[in-house]
Amino acid sequence: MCIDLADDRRWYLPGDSVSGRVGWTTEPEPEAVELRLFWHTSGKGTEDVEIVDDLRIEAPGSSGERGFAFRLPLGPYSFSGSLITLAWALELVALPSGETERLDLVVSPIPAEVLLESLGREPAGFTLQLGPKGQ
Amino acid sequence: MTIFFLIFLAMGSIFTIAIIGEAIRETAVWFWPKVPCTILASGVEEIDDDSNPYQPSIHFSYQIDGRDYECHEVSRGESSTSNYDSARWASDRFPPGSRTTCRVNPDIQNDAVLEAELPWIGFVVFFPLIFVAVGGGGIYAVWKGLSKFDTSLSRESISQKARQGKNIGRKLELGIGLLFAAVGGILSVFLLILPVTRLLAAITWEETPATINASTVRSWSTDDGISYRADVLYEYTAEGREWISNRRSFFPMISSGYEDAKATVDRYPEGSATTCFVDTGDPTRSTLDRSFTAVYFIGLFPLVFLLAGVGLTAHARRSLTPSKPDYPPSFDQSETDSGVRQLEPTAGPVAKVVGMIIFAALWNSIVGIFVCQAVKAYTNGAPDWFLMVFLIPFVLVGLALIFGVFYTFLGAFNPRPKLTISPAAPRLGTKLQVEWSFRGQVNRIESLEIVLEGFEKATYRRGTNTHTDREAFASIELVNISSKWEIVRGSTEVAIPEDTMHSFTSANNGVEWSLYVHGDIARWPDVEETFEIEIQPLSRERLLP
Repeated sequence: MCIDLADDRRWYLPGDSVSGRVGWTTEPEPEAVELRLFWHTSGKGTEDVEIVDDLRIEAPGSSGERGFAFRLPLGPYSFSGSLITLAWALELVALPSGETERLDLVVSPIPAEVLLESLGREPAGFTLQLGPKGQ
Repeated sequence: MTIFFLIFLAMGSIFTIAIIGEAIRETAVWFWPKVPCTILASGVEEIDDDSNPYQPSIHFSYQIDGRDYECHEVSRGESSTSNYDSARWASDRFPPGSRTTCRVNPDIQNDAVLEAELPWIGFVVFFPLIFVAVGGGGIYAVWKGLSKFDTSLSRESISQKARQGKNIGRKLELGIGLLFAAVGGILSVFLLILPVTRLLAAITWEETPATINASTVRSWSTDDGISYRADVLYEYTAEGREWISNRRSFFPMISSGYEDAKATVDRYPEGSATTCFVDTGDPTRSTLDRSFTAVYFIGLFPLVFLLAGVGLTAHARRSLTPSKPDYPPSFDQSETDSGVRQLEPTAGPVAKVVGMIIFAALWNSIVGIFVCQAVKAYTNGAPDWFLMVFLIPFVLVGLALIFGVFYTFLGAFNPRPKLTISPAAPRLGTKLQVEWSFRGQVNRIESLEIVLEGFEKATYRRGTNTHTDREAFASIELVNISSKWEIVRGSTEVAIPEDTMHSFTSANNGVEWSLYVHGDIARWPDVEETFEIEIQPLSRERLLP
């Protein structure tokens, strides 16, 4: 199973549209394949998962391909803090076997997840560290 | 852990099955055929059971197929009681010589009861069900955790968790919460609401001369040793008839130490004259004592269950409700940006004081019982040193809570900050204007600080407990002034950073923004209020021009 994005990028602005094609070749023949646009959390808190949009293809045959286009909402952003990390992804799932292909995305106003690091204490002059962790 | 939870589950299941079996046995009586019968004799008899020494004694006869039978069972359930009135009320309903109907067991013709009762014992099933819920839930949690670990090595669908199983934990929490609330609610009715309302009603009851018929110390064995209770039977005349009762309190029967029971018996010696209080509207109801005693505080215990149950239920419901809009739906509505909004504090002063009083009262009433026990043992010359040492930290916490009550009470008289923000729903990267003013004696405030704070909030389970951690990631000082005329009223503006995270809430995780106001008052609790605000993501126009 594969997910190909139209513009071959992983970073999207909130509100942007995500489009591309999905393909599958699976045995036995699935009852349906589902492409899901979702975000999930990881870190200290119990995991939350929210499917924002999906595309269900009934009786897809043992192989095939299909185009898709989703509109991203304005939030939540991909972010990472000391307790929580929120990440976006696309998943193509064959049902009922559960065979899965996943593609991670970054949905953020900057070309990386937002890092929650010390902001302030001064009224002005604070600095923000932008970009992925470790860079 | 599994064995521990299995024991809970097994014990709970055994008692649940036994109670359900008894409830079914009682319910079966409703389906027995009705047969005419004659009451031969009725009254209250004393039986050889000090815990429940009275029971209605009603002999009745009936005929089946021309053959006479005699029985004396009023109902299928337990009829003996510690309350003389209850036994008398039952017997008074069946005067000797009266005709009525009884229900006869179709399989055993000499087995009959005068009336079918609702299977009240079925309500007791809530208690063992708590054990079943804890045991079953614990096993589920343990094995779910293990299975998650086992499968984490393979490529599994993350999004599938949103489709299935996501809510099982919450539903379990909802079930346990409802169970606790039901148990707490039912117990609160019987141990708090009914006793207190009856006590209040007895204020109007008429003082009536009475004679003590019998006065004894009852004793019976329990799991914790021998329990004692003073049983004082008194007789009074009302509406031309003599009545006997043994009520001394409206609180359901409770045992005491031997000394207390003996002291009560000595206060009401057999044959002595005293006064009781009789309900003028219903002379069958009376009491020897209508004073408010410490025993009524026991009725506060079920409130702990009730509050815990309501809290769990509310939390589970809140978590189960948001199926789709886990982020504010206004994200996509730019028109919500404009306007002015007056903020409300996260917790008002009255709520703080009431919350503190409830918590301190519950804590100290529970700890107080053990302290009384320790003091009593000490004054009786047999001090329980282990109990006394063990209680020290609990007593200290109780004292701190009492201090907290006074602190929050004094704080309630502080000047109250009023904050107004513009725009009403600020977005990242925009300017936020904050106006402040105070109600009350603002001149007592010596310095004022207003801070825009951002927090991460993560809720997780550790064992059977749920914890929530908060971690600040932003603390942007807006105001820090000590000039009294500036403190009274003012406004400031802050540019909300563009490259940070907007407000976000999901079932277990979130990002919160708030305005924290701190006013320093010398030798008095400070003004401390938090006003939650919602900061929205960058607008579509700004992101995608």
